[in-house]
Amino acid sequence: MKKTIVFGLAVFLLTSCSKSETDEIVVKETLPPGNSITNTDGTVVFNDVLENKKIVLAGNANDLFIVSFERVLAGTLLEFKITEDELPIIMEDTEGNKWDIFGFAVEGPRKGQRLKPTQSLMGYWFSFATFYPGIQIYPDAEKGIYEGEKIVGTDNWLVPKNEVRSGGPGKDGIPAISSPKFVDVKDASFMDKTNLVVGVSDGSSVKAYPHNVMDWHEIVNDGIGTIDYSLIYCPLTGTATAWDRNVDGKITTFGVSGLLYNTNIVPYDRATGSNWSQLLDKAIFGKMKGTKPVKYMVLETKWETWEKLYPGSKIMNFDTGYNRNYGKYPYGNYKDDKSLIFPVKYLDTRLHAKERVHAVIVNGKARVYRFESFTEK
Amino acid sequence: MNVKGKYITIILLVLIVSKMQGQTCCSGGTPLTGNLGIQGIEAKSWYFQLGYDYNFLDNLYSGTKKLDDNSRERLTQTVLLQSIYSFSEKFSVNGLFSYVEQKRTIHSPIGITNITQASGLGDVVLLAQYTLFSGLKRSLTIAAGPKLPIGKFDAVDPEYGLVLSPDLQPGTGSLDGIVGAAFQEYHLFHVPGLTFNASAAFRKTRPAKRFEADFKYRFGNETMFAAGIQRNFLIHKIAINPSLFLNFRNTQQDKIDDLQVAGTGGIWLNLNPAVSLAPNNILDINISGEIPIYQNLNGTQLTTSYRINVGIAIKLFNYKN
Repeated sequence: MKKTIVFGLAVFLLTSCSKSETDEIVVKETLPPGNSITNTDGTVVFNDVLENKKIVLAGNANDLFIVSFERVLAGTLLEFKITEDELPIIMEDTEGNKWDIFGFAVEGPRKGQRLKPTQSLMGYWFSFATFYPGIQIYPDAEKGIYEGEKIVGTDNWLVPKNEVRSGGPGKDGIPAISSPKFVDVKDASFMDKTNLVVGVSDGSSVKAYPHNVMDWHEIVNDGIGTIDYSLIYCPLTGTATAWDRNVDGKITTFGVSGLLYNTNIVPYDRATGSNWSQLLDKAIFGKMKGTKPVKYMVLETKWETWEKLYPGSKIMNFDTGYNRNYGKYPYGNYKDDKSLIFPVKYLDTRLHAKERVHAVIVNGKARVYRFESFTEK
Repeated sequence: MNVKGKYITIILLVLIVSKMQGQTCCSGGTPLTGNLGIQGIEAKSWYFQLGYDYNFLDNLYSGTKKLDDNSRERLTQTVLLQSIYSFSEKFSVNGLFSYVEQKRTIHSPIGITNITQASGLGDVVLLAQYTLFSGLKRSLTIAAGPKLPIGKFDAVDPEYGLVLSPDLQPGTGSLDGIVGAAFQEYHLFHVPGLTFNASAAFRKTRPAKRFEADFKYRFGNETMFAAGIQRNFLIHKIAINPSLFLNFRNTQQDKIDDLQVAGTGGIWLNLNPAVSLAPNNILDINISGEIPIYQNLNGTQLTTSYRINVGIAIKLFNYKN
């Protein structure tokens, strides 16, 4: 990995806060953009516009990753194109900058700067469809039968209280990991090539977290560099996010409340006890109600790709402080079949419920991108 | 029914009572199948059995492997009232009522202990029993009937006021069907007072509606076998009946609609020692325990670490005597 400068971290922190959604560039939304380009590795790069937000997406169906960024950086609209460089560099722009998979400029006049990641997640189709009625499936403009539906809170919750379920294990019954241990990528013999991992970067180092541990613990309270974050993964919606652990002015930890909203994890923060919705991206009950978390970009891909991307990095191992059968997926056939364990408000069947897609959310509107859009044509 | 027969009956009741809920994560409700106490009794007799069951679970298993984990505990305490009335030597009815308290304790990674409790009436089982044969050497009784969903199934958690998961509810919410049988062979190996007992039960479950949505939870079908021996002694005019039983239990995985619920169902094999004291023909006091000897559980589940059951049985009325 080419070295990035520390300034990138500051830019990233400033730009990744979900509260800042300003974008002076107003463009006409067009679908499909029709500017898809592919490099020799099979990585596809294309532009899109969602709610007047100009974004660029890069993905590779073989390597199993999709990432997306805003194209406006420091007031300049960037034009991206494919690169002949190898991963983790995924694209370059017309200014001559080369950008890595986490959005850092690793070469060129903007070296060290970082593109603002979109508010986006990888996960199962059904989860985005139920949280964002009217969601579009790129490149179609069709919005599905639930277009216009709204989530209205009740009983001091920002969501209908009667749709919040007790998942079964209880508060902290699924134990969050507080002291993760890591091994070098080369020593991670416990990983198979197709195992999925979630990665976090601060611009100078990266860490990976395997799904097969996250399936059992859902939250890891950790940090990288000067960032304290909780990596939150919901095995029922297949979604991972990294939230800053500074809540209400205190560095704290997140735990698993045992509650689910629309079958998605409802973490609680241990500073105020407030309950948060991962997919609504805000606190939905308690003192912090309505507050949005500060987020950090996560990268999901398969282990084989991660090894290629960051061979010198570290991955969380099975020494979690808990004794679990990490080699076994705890939910049977759940990730492959169409069934849901808990009901959701809007069940949109346009895609297979568990198809993994990349969802980008802007101003409460969402669009998903399928891996089939990131295959070599 | 002679005195020995009554003691056998009581011991059988007590022993089977000890086969209560063996999994925690998502298998709850009143553990009625293991407490049926199927048996034929004397004509025109009426028996009451009042029992208390203390079931502590903190062994975490994945399949057959015990995991080194002490982050969770479960305590299920149940008061069981069984009443049997026989209309004739052949036909009787058996009713089983319960009051259940479930307590779940979770020790969080940061040293906080979260306790969730729920209590209330459990479901009720009504069985029609028919004694196929009953003699000096052996007897066999069969039974069938419904499990009525009158138990509390909407207990809420006090922190959020949200409905608790099915495994923490005193009742199951479902109308199930139960069949069973009980067999006794007296004077085993021509040894006076030595009796072989065997019983079997099967519960066919049905789905119960959960939450307000069109969403149904179904506990797994349950199959049980118990077999063992007991010996009767008379010491200072007090009948003492030690016994030892082997209990096998299998439950299928629970289902939410068509999806199997992780961490439910499995196989349990337990050893149940017990002893009862009968100072007279009216009263019987009994105590039993459970020693888990093998389990093969689906997914990861808490299972019984130890269990104690005490009971008292009273014969209130008997026209025949």
